[in-house]
Amino acid sequence: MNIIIVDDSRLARKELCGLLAEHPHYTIIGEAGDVQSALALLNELQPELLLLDIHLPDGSGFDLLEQSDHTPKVIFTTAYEQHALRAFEVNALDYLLKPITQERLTIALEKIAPSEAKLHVKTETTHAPNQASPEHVFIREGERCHFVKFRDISRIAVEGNYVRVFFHNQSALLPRSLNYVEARLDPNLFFRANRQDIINLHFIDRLEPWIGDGLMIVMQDKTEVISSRRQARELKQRMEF
Amino acid sequence: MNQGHFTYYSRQYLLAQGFFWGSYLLLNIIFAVLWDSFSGAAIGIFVTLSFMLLYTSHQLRALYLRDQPQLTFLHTCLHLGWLIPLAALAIQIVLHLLIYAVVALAPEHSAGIHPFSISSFVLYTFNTAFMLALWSMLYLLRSEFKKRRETEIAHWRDQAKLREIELQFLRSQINSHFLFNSLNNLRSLILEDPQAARKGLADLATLLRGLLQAEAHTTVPLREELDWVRGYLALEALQFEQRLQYEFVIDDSLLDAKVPPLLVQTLVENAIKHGIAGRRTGGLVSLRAQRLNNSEWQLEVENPAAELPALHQGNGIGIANARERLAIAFGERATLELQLGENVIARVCMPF
Repeated sequence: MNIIIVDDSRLARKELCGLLAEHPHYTIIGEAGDVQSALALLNELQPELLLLDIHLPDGSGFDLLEQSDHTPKVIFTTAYEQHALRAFEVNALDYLLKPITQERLTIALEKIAPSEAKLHVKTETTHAPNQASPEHVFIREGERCHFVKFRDISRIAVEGNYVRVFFHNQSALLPRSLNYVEARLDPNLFFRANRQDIINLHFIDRLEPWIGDGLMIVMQDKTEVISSRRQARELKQRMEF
Repeated sequence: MNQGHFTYYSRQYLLAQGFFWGSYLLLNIIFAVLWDSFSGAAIGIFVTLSFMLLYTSHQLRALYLRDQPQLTFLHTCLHLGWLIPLAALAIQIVLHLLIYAVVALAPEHSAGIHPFSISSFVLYTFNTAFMLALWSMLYLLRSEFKKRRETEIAHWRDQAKLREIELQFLRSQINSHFLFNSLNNLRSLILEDPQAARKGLADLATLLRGLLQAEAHTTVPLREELDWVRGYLALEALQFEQRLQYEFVIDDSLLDAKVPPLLVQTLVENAIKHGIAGRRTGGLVSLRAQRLNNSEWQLEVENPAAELPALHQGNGIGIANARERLAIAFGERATLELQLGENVIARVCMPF
């Protein structure tokens, strides 16, 4: 698993490298000391795991996640700001308190990728993704922070210049355009129903005919999304398949 | 319920009781003299009446103190509405019985005593009820007022305490953050450069000793404070490395001057936290101490401002805390000002 370490202290980064040397399945592919360089590294190398300090010279770890196009799995490392992590839902993420013990690191890595160890034990033929396709997106709204798994997103709708993401019976605003989000979603799972909405095919309850050969898509949460003729045709084809 | 509560009289209460019923007695006597009905028997009656009223009002107070926790002010007043007339009636009956006894048993002392009439009995009862009502009103107002003031004082005391706890909490947060980062850096340094790690541990020990001792003194010699600051900076340099440079420009004759413990450390910590830490390229922290005149000297800590000052803005707790410690040590003779700009300067003037 490819890892990037972000911490403004070189010694702290070195410490983490030393600890990770004991875990042969993890490869450190980059290090950064501030948000700007971490951002470039993250988008270029697209790691699977990020070890992230909260205090950085030009922002916070949260700023980095918010600005990044690529959201890997994250383990926060912190000296004393556990309170900053209260913004997250329970069990949404893991954090390590510095100085970090090998035992604690092992547990956190196990939690992040329980299959990782087995995967390598089993066989080399198992296709391990060399370029990680991110499974979740980081959303910060006010004081609340979420790591939302793509498969848990039921719908994404335009709201002003941004989009609102619906998941787990709640929603949050993401400061991105719908086109930006669409380009990063799995086209097998998500469908652009119209100019306003992207829907998750797994969350469709039923389809009803609509005027002008269009379709009314009723989602499981009873939301109704209208699809135009052209989009409706595409959807029908995909659903038949 | 606890008995001591009821039998407790404050000096103030006793004086007020004496004054109130004493005045009533005096007024009765004055009116008697004015209406020419003054006699030994009259004085006897007035004194007896005053003592009975004193006793009754005292019992009313006991009742009030007993029931006050359960009753609202309005409820108390409603209860007094039937208690006072009843008490007045009882007092007058006892008084009239006494007078009757005196007239019957010692007719020689009964000169000037009018024969019993129902109208005067009713009038006397009204008078007594009025006096008891007046007394109750004054007493209740006084006790309500006191209760409210006590609640208010308690409220402000709680607020002040809360603020103090908040201050301490924030202070400990800052130090803990630094402490654990230092431990982490030292842990890494042990493998990289054992000698430097040993020195770092000694610095940390010096600093911790300073932190622990700081509570015990209002001032320490600048020399000692600067030792702590050097240790502190050496540890922060492990975190920031080439991003943190620092210089000391100190007038040697000031090394024995007194400063509140950890004052300089607080200012340097602020310079790093709100300045250097917020700059990718880091910067220089300058510490200067110079003589101003024969009675004052000045200490300055200068640092470049953060790249995004809004992001690294403090909450002013560090500065407020430093000002407080200066005030404890020197009163109004010391000042601390903060000069903002591209370079931030914290300037402290202190007396010798």
